[in-house]
Amino acid sequence: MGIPFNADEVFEMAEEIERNGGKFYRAAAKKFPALRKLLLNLADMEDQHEKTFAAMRAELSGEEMEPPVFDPDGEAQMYLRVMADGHVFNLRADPAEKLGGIETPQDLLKMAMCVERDSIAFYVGLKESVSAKAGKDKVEAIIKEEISHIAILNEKLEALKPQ
Amino acid sequence: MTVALNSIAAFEIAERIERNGAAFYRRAAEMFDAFRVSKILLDLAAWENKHEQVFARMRAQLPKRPAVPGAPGNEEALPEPQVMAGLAVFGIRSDPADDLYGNESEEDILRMALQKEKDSIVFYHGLKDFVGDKADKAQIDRIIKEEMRHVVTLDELLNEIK
Repeated sequence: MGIPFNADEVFEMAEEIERNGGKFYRAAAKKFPALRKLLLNLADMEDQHEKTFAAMRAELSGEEMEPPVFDPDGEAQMYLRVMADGHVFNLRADPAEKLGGIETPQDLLKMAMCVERDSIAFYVGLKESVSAKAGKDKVEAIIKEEISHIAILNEKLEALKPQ
Repeated sequence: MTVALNSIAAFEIAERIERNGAAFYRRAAEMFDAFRVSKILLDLAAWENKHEQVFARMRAQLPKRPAVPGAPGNEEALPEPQVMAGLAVFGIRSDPADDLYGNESEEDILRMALQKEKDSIVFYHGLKDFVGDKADKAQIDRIIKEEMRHVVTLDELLNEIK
């Protein structure tokens, strides 16, 4: 993946993260039928986020592309590049492959929490790099929803613990 | 059961994250042969200690009887308790220095450090909801940016050793 120095590429990555998240949850729902409803709900929410990022990217095209990012010192861009270069995220990997060594619902939920955490860590950088005009508030709203996913997953994990 | 966090507990976790981070980097610094890399890791440890002090000062300024999220009158001001409890999972992992046994590769250590930094960034983003003052939010934002710089530094080190 090239260095993401414009908003179009950064939002495209955000879409890919959400697309991969949706694939991950759907594959997990097949493997763990007992958690199917929860996982498919999360997959649907990731789909919705993907649409939001796609709409934001579309709004940035054409005339709006002139001030694509607000990052005077370039640090948020550096961070996003690092986050996307494969050490932190491997956007090209098949998300379903992550499930290979996962055998228990507990391990799945822990992995899902890390997937959500990685998304949030990327979006915190994204929020730093986009202007209010480009949709800083929308990015924050998605961060809050991803944080709520962690809460949902954590509650389920706690519920599975022996009493 | 999930733990309902009040603002004092949330800041205590932030301090613990930084304390654990500093311990991790100091232990990691002992495991690298290259002096230059060890020096960078010790610098990162020093940053984490500074952050711990900042969070401790912020905690000291909180009201003695902290507002409890979800309590009457606080529903709007503070995050849902179960939300921060979810994020706290990333903050209250075992002491990361204990996870280093001495046989990890340099790449393993740097990857563990990256995970730790991501945990911090995500927890601190949630922590901002516990403070109402703009200056406090800005202070936490500065720490988040410093943790982002650490991610960049660790990535550069990873590229160097590969």
